[in-house]
Amino acid sequence: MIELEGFSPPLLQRETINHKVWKPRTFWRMGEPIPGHLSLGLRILSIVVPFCLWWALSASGVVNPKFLPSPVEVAQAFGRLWAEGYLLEDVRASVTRVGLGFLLAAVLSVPLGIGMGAFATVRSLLEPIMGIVRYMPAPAFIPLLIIYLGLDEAPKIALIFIGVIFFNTLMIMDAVKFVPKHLLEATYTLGGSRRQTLMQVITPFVVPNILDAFRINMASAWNLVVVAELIAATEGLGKRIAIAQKFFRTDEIFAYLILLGVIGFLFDLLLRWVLRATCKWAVD
Amino acid sequence: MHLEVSELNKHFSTAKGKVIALKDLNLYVEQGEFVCVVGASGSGKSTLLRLVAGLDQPTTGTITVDQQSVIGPGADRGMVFQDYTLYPWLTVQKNVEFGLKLQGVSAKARREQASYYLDMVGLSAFAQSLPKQLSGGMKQRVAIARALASQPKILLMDEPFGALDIQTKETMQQFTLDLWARTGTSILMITHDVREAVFLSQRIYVMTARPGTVRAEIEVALGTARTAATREDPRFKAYQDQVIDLLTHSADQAVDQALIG
Ligand SMILES: Nc1ncnc2c1ncn2[C@@H]1O[C@H](COP(=O)(O)OP(=O)(O)O)[C@@H](O)[C@H]1O
Ligand SMILES: [Mg+2]
Repeated sequence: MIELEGFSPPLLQRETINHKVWKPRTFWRMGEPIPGHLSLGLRILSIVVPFCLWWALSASGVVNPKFLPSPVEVAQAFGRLWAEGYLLEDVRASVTRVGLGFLLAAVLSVPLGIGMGAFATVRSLLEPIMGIVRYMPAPAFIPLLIIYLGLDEAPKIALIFIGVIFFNTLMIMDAVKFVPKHLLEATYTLGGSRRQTLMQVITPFVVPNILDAFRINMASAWNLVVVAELIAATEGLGKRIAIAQKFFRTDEIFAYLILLGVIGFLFDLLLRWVLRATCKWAVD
Repeated sequence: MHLEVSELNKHFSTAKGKVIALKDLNLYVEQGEFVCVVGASGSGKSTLLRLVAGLDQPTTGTITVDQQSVIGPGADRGMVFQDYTLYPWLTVQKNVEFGLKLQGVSAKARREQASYYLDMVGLSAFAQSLPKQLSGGMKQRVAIARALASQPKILLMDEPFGALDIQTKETMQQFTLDLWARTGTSILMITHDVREAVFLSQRIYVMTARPGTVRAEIEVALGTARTAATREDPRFKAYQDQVIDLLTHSADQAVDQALIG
């Protein structure tokens, strides 16, 4: 240590300060990736542990099997619904509603969101009204939709559309705000027109954010399709759950809940795959 | 090419009141010249360059390129920003082609043009890489190639090497000089690094802060073929001291004025 002349010693003696050294950890490292095998193991546990708990609980007989069916019973219910042809029909009906409602919302929200993000004028014009309407819960529109559109597919698709479009638009608008100003200015100095800048710079820049917005709002679409089907439908995953409730078929309810989770997860995987395939630059 | 900036004034109105960013500023750049503007940060250098690029409008005064008034941004004035403004979703090759694409050049012609300039900046091997795979110095070379591909009349650079480490910076300075000698492009570059300005330019404008205006114009007579040895030249040191002296002096004045005002 270098002694400095005239340097008054610190108020605290070094010995009184506890210089702790932390051992490096694999498991509890924050913000760092973990080894592949550890990640895979934990992912498997994430499914297997709740499944085993469910199995153990239903096998122990603590809970009335009427309320908590065993995994085997649920699998049998699954097979029965499949054999009777309900399952495919319900999946088809729900997926079509979600698909149409979501697609309509997506097709509109992309130009709206980009327009609102890029032009302060469009934003001033639309942000206040959207800010209010998006806080009106979509299910509260059901009675109106039924009065206007009847009981067929139209009100269900409209419900999903209403529930998705505002959030989608506002999320895309926010993404546009994060396009670096210098990137736009660089484009102007390369001779880019406003239209070219909008289509060839802003739009490709926010594609990853658009896909992320889709992933997040897809969950609302599934929520709403079930809500719509609980109220008025002849088939669909939500409708089947409502029927199962009437006949106290908890095994069928369980089967359809699991099915809903799996379908939603598959959609999520699909969108993530699209992101990885089209936007290599935005994923590591 | 002749760039003429005369009696340029730029005011900004902010919440705290009016900011006079530029006051009665005059400068020019002749065909093939390499001119640097040095000044402390906040002296209005970026504001000046943005006005020349047409990204902002002057409050009063005129900017002309070949007697034509600058009314907005255009590919005749290429611009390189300090932060690397590459398109992250495009490959290096496509980045360099982008300006030509915007101007409607055919795919084949712009591919050839871009390859030529990529070769010139020594990055042909990285043509198919994405910007995120490049180092800072390489990104800036791509940005320069992208600006040059449109064959601008003048290249504007706003502290292009400000974010680089000292070794990379000196390599980039040598590289820029060689590029300038080979292409004969006129360059107007902004920097706060006095050594950089002396090493690169034929003429230096020294700016004072608040309000930003030209305090002095210095001819740097060190020839056009400059190398690492130039930095050891006693005249290099003399120019450097002269510029630093002007900058410090203007800083003192600013402090004095602040105390009086
Ligand atoms: N858009 C703006 N609005 C308000 N003030 C600005 C704006 N741009 C620059 N200024 C002010 O003008 C002065 C010069 O800024 P700038 O040109 O960025 O200086 P430099 O590039 O030399 O560091 C600063 O005081 C800055 O705060
Ligand atoms: Mg600046």
